[in-house]
Amino acid sequence: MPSLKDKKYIINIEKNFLRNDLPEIRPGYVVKVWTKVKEKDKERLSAFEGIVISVRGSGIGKTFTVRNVISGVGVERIFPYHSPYIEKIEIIRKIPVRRAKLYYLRERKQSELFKE
Amino acid sequence: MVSGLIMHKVGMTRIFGQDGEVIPVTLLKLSGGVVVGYKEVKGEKRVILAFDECKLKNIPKPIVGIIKKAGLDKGFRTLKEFALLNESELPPLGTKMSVDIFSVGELVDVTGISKGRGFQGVVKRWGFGGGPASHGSMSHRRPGSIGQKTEPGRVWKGKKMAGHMGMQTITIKNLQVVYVDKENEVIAVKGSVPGWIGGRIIVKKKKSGGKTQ
Repeated sequence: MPSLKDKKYIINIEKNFLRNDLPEIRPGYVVKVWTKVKEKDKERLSAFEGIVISVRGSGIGKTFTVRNVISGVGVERIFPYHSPYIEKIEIIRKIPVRRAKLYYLRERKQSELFKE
Repeated sequence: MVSGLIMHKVGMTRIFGQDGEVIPVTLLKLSGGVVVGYKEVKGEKRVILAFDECKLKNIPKPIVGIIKKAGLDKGFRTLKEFALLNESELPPLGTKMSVDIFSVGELVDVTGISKGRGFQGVVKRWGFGGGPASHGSMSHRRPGSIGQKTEPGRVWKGKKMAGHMGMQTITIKNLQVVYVDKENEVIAVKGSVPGWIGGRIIVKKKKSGGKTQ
């Protein structure tokens, strides 16, 4: 019986579900995430644009948080990076940041959100 | 086809389902599963399967005898009987069972020994509410009253009290098989499974065929 302590078998299954067609995501990127939305029998695309304020997890559990201010209300969406429901991710800008988690942006107004 | 297999818990992860939903899964790995004998109990035909490959010198002599009789030269630590679901043909001695007796979408029952928790109080072991936290209360995690007065004048049998928790055989019914990897002899079932990583888990097929709704 080989040791089950190593993650070999877990990684083996996970890799069947990983996406490698998506661009790399980092905190500070301004992105537009296109997701598939099911409506009865039809499927349409919906986009969410904003700044990536957090990337957490590794492997299949990796998620990223996108923040924007929409009609005066702060909105954050957490996407599983490897979800098959993500159609594509467009990277619009890359803002240089010095932190891994940009939670300080929650204190900022819309006009200051995408400042460098 | 045999009615079940002994597998080992590998750990948990998640996969994406057909609709993109996240499914928490436990991976189970098969080791061995070789036919070493037959038995008939009350007219039901059973096969004796050997699991947990190991060195021949490390196992008890009675098991060595059974394995030698079946014409194998590998060692197996565990023997267990499983019923045959379609009795028509008996698999020959030395046949290796595969995880493909399970199919994706099928429901199975899993049995394992839960993690030992040691001596635990009533709050953790039975979910008692405990007493007030403050206002001079000194009864924080105590069980409170354990009975009545002179009638019955004793504590009921089976009263829930503090004691040893865990390390019990637990069966979880109707877990869905969501992934079968024949090459690595690994299957994934939806949800959690009792016991520790590396622990022995009996995975049984449902008698009804385990059809999902």
